[in-house]
Amino acid sequence: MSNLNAGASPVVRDLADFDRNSGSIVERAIFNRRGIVIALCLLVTLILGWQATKLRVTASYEKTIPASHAYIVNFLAHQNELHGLGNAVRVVVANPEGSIYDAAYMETLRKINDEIFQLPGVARRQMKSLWTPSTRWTGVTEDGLEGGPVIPDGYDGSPASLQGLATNVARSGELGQLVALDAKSSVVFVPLMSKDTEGQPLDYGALAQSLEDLRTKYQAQGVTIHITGFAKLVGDLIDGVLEVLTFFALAVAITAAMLFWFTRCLRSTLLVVASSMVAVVWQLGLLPTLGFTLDPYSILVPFLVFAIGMSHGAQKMNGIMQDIGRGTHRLVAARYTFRRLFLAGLTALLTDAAGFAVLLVIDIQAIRELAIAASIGVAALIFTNLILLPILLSYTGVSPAAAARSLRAEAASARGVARHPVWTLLDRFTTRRWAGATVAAGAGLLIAGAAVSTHLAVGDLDPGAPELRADSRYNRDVAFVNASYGASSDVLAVMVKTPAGYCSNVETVLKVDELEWQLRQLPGVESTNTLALLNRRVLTGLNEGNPRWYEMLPNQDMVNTITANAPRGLYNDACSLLTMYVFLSDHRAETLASVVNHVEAFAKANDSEDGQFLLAAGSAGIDAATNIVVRQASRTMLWLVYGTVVLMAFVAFRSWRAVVVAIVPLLLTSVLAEALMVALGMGVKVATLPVIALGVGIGIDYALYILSVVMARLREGMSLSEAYYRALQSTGKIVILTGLTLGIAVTTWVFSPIKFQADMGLLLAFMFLWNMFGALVLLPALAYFLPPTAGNAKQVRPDTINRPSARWPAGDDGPAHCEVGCVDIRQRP
Amino acid sequence: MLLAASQAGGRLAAVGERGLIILSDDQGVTWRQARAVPTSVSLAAVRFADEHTGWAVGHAGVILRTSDGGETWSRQADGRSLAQASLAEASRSQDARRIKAAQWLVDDGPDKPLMGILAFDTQHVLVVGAYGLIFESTDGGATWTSIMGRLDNPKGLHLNAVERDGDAIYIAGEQGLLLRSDDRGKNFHRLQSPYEGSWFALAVTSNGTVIAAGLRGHAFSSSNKGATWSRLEGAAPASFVGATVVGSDRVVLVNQAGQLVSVGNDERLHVLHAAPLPPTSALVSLPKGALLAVGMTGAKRFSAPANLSGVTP
Repeated sequence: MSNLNAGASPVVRDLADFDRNSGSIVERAIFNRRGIVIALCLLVTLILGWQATKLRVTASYEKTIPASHAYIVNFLAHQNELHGLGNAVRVVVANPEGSIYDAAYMETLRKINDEIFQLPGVARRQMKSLWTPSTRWTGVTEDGLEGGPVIPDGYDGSPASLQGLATNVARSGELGQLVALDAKSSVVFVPLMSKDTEGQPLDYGALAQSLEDLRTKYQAQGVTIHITGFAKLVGDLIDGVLEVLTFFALAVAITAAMLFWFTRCLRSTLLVVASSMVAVVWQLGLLPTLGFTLDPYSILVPFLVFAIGMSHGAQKMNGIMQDIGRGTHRLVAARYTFRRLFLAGLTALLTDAAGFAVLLVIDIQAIRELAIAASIGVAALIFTNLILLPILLSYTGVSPAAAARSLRAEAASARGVARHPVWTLLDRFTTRRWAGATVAAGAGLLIAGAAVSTHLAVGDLDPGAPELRADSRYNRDVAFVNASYGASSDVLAVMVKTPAGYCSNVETVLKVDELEWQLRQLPGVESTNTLALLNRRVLTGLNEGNPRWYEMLPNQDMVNTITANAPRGLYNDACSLLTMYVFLSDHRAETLASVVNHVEAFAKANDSEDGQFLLAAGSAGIDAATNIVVRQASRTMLWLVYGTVVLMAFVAFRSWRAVVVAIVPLLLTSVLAEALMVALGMGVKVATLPVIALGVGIGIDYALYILSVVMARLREGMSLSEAYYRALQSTGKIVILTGLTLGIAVTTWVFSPIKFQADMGLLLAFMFLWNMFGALVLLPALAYFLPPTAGNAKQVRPDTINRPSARWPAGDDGPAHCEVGCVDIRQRP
Repeated sequence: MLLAASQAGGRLAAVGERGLIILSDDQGVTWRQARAVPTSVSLAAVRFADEHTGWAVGHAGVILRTSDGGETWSRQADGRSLAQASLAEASRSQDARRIKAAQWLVDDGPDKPLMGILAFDTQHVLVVGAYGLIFESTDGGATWTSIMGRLDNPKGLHLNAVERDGDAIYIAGEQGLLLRSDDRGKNFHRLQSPYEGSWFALAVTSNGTVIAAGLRGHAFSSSNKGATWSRLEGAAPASFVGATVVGSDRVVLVNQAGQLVSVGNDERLHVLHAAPLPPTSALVSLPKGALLAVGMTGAKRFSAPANLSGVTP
């Protein structure tokens, strides 16, 4: 059949008058076998719904780090030779009644230590507390150097043995490390393995739960327990999933209620919500089927799939409703709408999917999995909301009252009644003065936003976990630990690689000594620990503790002797790797950058056969690598996302002017969203990196739906004002509806106890609303200056303009024109 | 890490690890770095003859001199030149044992620290150090002569502290070593030591009382130029590393743990209830009863504790 007729959709009141074999091959394949399609979808939903019950919410430390960055490669290559520098949890046991030198406290600590030792996933050999044999002291007497475990021999809890313990702790160097500066608490340091002995990945939820059980059990016995570390943080996030889901449910309910308020049609509202939910079910079912789990950081993805589904579903429903309102049979209305909107919807969803898929280039597994999850979800929407939803509506139809109501404005306008004041207001943006002012204001905002967004920081800006509220249990625990121990939990380790057996080469140790001194001058560096520092301390010790011997003697015999007796952790068993610990005051991006830049410059000037200075291990070292990757990725990602969107928009519109008109409002949203992140004190990190890309994905839907109608009308010879008004009446009002609805729905998230969700709620609300605003205000204003059809006017065939349909009464032009998606169809030869 | 400090007229100078020299013109409130210090080894002692001229000594036998109140320093000697000076001095004595010892210094290389300075004036200076090192200069440091031969120190014990009382010199060292000279260092004789452990700190009051303190809280006083000593009881078993005279005759000691004690007239040590300092390596008395402690975390100025006067007779 002729493509030219694809846009002309005559009213078909009786199904018998409809040519079942009209429409594209896809349309015929689907609509002539509606039962089979529904049955298939039902089957898939049942299977994937069953699969979805197997979905696990879990996290993995390894997934949040950029595995192929040089720092991480270095770290992973030497991981087994390093001590206590990987993923670890600190369990701080405090005595609220007094100091740790208390028999009851020490007994409780021993029990806690023993229980933690038994937990699955704990790297037991490297675990450290006052009760582990690896915790030793060294001291100096007139007789020379002495040493031993900090728990004195024959410890029995008596005042004498507690006094012995206190003495040993004082000379162990563990004050501020294992024992608080005020001696009211001590640490059980629990390094974790990424896989247990049977090769199973560490179950963070279960570990966090075990630790929480320990806390409950022993807090009842008179100690207070504070737990920090990545495992506890994600454990708390996983714990909070139920609350997050409650807010999702609230957002879904608000969305459905507003959709119903708008349409006053219960069945179609329910179907739109249901089909969007089906897409979510498919997504959640496909994840475990493909071997993925749901990360706390990608917990927003199912909701975003739902939100995008609502946007498309509402467009389909509106199209069908308006056709039915004009008197068309519900099946024909569904087919017409499919004909009109399938390609536009497909283009938008493919753009979304491609926009998410480009996140795959980012070398962080957690973001890749988010990209896969989001792409799967959006792909599912193609089936559920572009195919299944029209079919379902073709059976149910819509409430007749609602259908009539949907055309009220159109009918009123046809009767010459004044337009709705909102439409009148929006129409002004197609006039010279308003458009000029709007574009100028947009340019001003773009410049101001770009200026503010240059302050967008990478990484964490505050101590503690920004994902949780400042007064959350976890962040209060972090604050307690930072206050009691100095801020020594942020450690960056430099690895110094030497030939085997040469780690104590005096030249190398002198270089370590030099770098250590330079690093100590940097702001943010609290202290350091190296074999060189040990040399200084032991030389002092060997000289009866006289501080005037505090020096790194360039004496190979001395270094060898000291190295042979050094505690574990400063060098590896093969004596081919020295570890330099740099304790930082925080893990803010600037602090990390200044340290790693300094070390890199030093390495460049000093690396030799005998010693190479390699970055980086330790929590702060990994943060530094992650920051570097995230910083690069945040730009790469935007280029790729915009590149994809520009390409898809060009394919859809075949006009550079149209692409500019569609993309500039999105760009403004992206820039302002970054400025908003600055204002909210949020840094770009693994958790927040994808949000801007998701925002582009949301925005392109609005632009596609409005601009394609405007362009179609312009090609028909209408003025911009008239074309824009037509777009508002058909797809534009749904853009307003979804923008407002989703914006309001996610705004409720600011009340979430999980700060990550609250922050995301604000950002998403801003992007939903501002994208809508951009599509309604900036888009027509830009179109005034850059008429989107002017560049390809030659492609418009005059005979397609205002060509009345054979069975269509002239004058009633409403449904006679292609509304959406015909751009492509017309341009096909 | 700061290791020592000294008054230089109205100025304070402190020295420490890696050739660090810092100066204060407001008695320890604010500090700045010296402009030129030609070494990167730890400096263990600093002392001024007057407001302009002073010396700093430290590891690898380094001797630095300033003539502008500590702003700039020049290197006068190091372990190599001092070892050669020792060998020259030993050769003149034709004492085989001393020649052997001096040859050992030359062969061993410059890895021995100097620990103490005594300046009679801008020309006459003594420096002492580990392994019995002691050098004298009578030309402001232009040339240094070993005077190890004048000391009764056959085992080459470390010389950790040196103080003077008029023309008299006291040296305290390793394993209870105590030495005195009554003629500005021309002759030394060994004192009968009350303790076999090492001394790290010495103080001499204006009335000639000598206080020696060291390992594990041991401190002794002598009011007869070191002929007899009496134990000062009452200290925790942490090594004393610094001593200073407050006013004319009140001695305050500091131990490694940063605890301050005052020597009372009752021959006991009284813990001063000031907040404990960070690990400390030296103590200097400032005008108006203030004190300066230097150590692991830098320099800290504080008022002498109120009960310092409470232990007067």
